[in-house]
Amino acid sequence: MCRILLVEDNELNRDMLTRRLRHRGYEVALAVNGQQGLEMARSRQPDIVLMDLSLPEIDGWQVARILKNDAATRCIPVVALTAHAMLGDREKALEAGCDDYATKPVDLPHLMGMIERLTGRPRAADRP
Amino acid sequence: MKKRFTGAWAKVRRRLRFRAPRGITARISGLSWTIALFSLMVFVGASIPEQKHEIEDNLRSKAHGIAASLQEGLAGAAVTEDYSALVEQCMQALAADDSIDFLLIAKDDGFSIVVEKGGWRTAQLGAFWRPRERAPAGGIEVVPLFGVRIFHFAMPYDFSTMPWGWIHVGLSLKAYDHGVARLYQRTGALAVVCVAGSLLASVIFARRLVRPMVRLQDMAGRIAQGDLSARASIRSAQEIEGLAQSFNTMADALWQRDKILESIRFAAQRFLSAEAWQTVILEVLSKIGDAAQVSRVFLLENRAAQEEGLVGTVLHEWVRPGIPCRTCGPGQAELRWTGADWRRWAGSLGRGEVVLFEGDGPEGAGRGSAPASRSSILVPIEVGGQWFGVLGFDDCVRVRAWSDAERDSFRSAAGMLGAAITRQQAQEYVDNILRSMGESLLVMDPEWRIQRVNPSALRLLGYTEEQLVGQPFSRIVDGDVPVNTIAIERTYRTSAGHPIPVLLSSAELRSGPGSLVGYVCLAQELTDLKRTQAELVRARDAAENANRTKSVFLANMSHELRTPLNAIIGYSQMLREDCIGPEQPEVLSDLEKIERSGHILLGIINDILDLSKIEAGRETVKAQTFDIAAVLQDVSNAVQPLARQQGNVLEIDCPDAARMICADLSKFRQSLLNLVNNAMKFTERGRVSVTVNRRLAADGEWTEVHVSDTGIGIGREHLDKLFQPFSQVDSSATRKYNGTGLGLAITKKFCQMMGGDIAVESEPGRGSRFSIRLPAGRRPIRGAAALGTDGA
Repeated sequence: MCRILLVEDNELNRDMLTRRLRHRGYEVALAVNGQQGLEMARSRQPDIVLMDLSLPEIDGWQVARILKNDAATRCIPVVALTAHAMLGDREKALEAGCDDYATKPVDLPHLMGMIERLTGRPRAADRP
Repeated sequence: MKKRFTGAWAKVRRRLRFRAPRGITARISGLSWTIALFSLMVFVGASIPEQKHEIEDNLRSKAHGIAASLQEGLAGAAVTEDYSALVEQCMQALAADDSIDFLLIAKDDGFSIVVEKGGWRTAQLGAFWRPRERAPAGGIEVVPLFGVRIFHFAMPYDFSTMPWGWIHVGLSLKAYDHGVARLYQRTGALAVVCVAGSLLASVIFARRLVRPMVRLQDMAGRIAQGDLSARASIRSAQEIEGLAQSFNTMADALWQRDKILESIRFAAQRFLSAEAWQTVILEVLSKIGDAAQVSRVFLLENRAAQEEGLVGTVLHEWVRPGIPCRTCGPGQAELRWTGADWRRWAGSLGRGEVVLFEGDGPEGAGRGSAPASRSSILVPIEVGGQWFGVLGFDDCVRVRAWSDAERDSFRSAAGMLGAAITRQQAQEYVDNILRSMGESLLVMDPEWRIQRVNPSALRLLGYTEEQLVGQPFSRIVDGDVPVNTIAIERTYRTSAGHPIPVLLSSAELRSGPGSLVGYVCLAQELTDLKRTQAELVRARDAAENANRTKSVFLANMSHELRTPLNAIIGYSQMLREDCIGPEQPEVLSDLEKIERSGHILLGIINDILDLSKIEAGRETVKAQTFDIAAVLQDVSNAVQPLARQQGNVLEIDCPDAARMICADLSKFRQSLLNLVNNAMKFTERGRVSVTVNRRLAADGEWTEVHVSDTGIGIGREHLDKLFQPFSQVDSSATRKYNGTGLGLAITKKFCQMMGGDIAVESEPGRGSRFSIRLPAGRRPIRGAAALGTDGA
């Protein structure tokens, strides 16, 4: 069972992605801002963090930097979810310590391949 | 000894010379008097002895008569030896004549009878009374017996041819001496009269002879002192009169020459002081004409085109009173010489030589009632190295020879006129430049006082010339002005005190070898420029601001548009994948349409964002070496759905030698994707081929990627705007083929950022071929791309 922490402030995206991932058998925890994302990453120790970068209060780059500088969370892979046109955002994400990035709107099969590669675990069995 | 003598002689000579008369009058009178004296002396010296001789002769003949009268008595006495009768006769003779001093009869034996006034006696006398030579002789002498000076006459007496004795007669010299004295007196008186008379005559003669010479001398002296009106009226000897006439002629010539020279001086002074030569030319011509005693003086401007003669326009003319003027009538008077000599004349004048002629008048010269010239002289005028015209002098009265002095003077006048015209033309040239220039020009003296101002400066500063000239430069300029500076900003102050920003350049004015004569300042008003500059700055700021606003807006829009779009696409995908079963095909198809439309919209937004980022210079190039074949595979995968849909075949030719390239992978991929995507879109049931090759050129090794299709092609008229943003060939195409028309513009920008370019060949109905040309290897990347970081 792969546990995903999804940090996303937009409700629609959050809902859509959560439902699609859960539909594919992932266990998804939700955070709506950077601060909450940080706390949940520390407290819950997810297998992977999927994170939007433009977050209120503490943005995604800062969150990534903090997670990667904290020994307790350093090992958790972080995937940035970025907009296509924001080319610079993606580079900045990798610089900040993100392990990979995915372009929104999310191509689900692509994202699932990425998760599998980063966590080394197959996803939970598809829901019937 | 000899030396001493010559020295003394020289002294005498010096003395003599010192005392010798010096004036011509004295010399001539002295000479003539000396001649008269000499003649008198010769005369007197010759005549006095003659007279004395005559008196002696008279005495001699008288004595001879007395002796002869005694001969008869003596003859008797000699026979008888009775001398009483003889004595008696002698006594009577003595008594009768006072002048007889004595009578003496001397016998050869010495016996003698001496008869004197007081009585007679006999005596035995010596040989004196019996001279050896028996011939009558007489002379004045002192005889021994009486001891007084008398005239003694002795006559031999022969008795019957036998020498017997002598008769001596002694005549008193009283009468003789008296006569001689009177002779001397008369001669002396006469000599005195002659000497005085000759002296007087000599002096008068000499005076009369010398008087004309003195007058000539006096006249020459006055001429020498500058009084050229002096004339000599002399009626005298032919030679002197001739000399006087020559003198008068010479004085006339000198007088005229002096007048001409004076007129030339006048001309020089006028030409130098006049602002414009035209204002003084008539005055000058009149002065010269009057001095040279000609009938006409005219200034002729050379006519440029001279085909059939020497032609000129009379600009100014002076005529002697009474002679009609040629320039007074309407229009300009033209003179035209067309005679046989005009070519030669024109040649001479062109070389600066004077032309003289007699009676060979120009056509037009006698215009109206103006008389024809009898003698003329044409003097060329040179202006700035060119033959400008001639100064002409006509004498309508007589044929005259022009003297060297006249010619030289005329040439001087022409030279000065030419110089005046040249100077004025140069002045006008400079004035025109100063007047016409829009910049303000000020000329200062070495103390920075304003000397000259051009009209632009007066307009700018609001002063009159009189107000500015002489003022210090600091009155109109704020701050110091360095010498020899170019385009510094300063502020001028107008008469009303308003500041005017100017761009100022200054330079020293030096005359000849370096002496400072002043400064020149050229200023360009900057008010308009400043305003424009300020407006430009405002406009730039506004544009930059707008651009920032646009970037912010675009970034926001990207996020704001994308978020709901993501939801649209995501939810339709989710519905399609998870919720809707194959049993509801219509709903599935509708969801696909929603999703596709969402992707198209997303593509448009991405294109716009890409382009705006490129234009804002925010896009960077990250060069890395990669395999083109792999990229082509990606592209091929991406376009497969479209290829199938259009019924197209995709052919790829990528030889191993051309596979590797160093470029920005994502830009390369997107460029290629754009091109192949386009080719697929505009081709139906055709072929799209991608060919890669390498080419070695002078400027390096290049990778070329050609994307050819067999589609609808592009008209020639559209090719040039193909790569401009929003320029899909026509709007109907947009509807049919989708897309924003930004793809090619972005592709071209990407290619240029990577140091290459894109080109297109096309023919409507036959297809298109797009060619990307990129540097194959690593090299400095030009343009905006150079800002990028090397991410390889």
